[in-house]
Amino acid sequence: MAICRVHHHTLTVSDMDRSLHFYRDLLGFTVIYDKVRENLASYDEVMNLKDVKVRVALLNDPAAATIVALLQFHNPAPRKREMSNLFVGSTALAVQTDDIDADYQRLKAAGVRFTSKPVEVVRDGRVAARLAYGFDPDEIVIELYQPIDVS
Amino acid sequence: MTIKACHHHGFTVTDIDRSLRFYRDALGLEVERISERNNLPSYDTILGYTDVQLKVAILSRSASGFVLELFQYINPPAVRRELQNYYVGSSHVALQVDDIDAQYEILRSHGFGAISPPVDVVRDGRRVARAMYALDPDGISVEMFQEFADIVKE
Repeated sequence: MAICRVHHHTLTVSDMDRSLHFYRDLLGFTVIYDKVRENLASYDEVMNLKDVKVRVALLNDPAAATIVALLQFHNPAPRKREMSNLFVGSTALAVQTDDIDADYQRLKAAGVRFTSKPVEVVRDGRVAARLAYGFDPDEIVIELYQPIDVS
Repeated sequence: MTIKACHHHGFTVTDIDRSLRFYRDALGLEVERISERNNLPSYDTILGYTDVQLKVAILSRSASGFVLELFQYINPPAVRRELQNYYVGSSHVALQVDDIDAQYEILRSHGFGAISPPVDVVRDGRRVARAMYALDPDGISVEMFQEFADIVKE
């Protein structure tokens, strides 16, 4: 099998500057690439769209282990629509924290919306993790996840 | 700042068994766990729904420690709608491969396809990669690319 690795995860956003504030300043990601790309025949073909123009930002996660790519389309015009986990194809990006309560309070103070406070997830009679579902500026789910060490 | 790393990436799918034929059988990801989750008040609180019932598959690619989570909502029922990469909130995972044309043939032999066959990505007159957007059974894009130059630095 020829798959080497996961290279990145892409999220389509509506306003790159607003999203960079969220992922860089609030989540602690590092921007390693930020360019506008257009006149690329391959993009039109790969995406089956016409005259694609996109701003692409690549961000390393705080561990520099995973790249998140943010795409802001200039053409075709981005389309916003209702977001919900129930929609097939919707996504949740889980970020691991070692102090979910502190991050929850910090992000909430910065205006980030959450479905609930951090909640204990009990599996097989023990607390496996604490989770909270927050939302990025486009309502993409960002899951705060703190594993609970039971050793 | 206490956020340490990305932990996993989840997708809502229609039918886990059907999705496994793509992610496990055609892409070769390893299944760590498949579980049904019912009667978990924590999920109702976290997700904001009542009486959540989920089927969850956790997949990994051990070489990179990567975890992909597939969610099949049984209750509330999942809703299908058109997917396009320029719709805000759309998402895909990009996999680096060492032979994209071979990977395309593997996909086709499993009955799957891509938006287009592999295409050369040329920037400033140089071929930097060869790429395609494969489609999972729900139409979620899975980008695959074979790199000829460091695409982050180019």
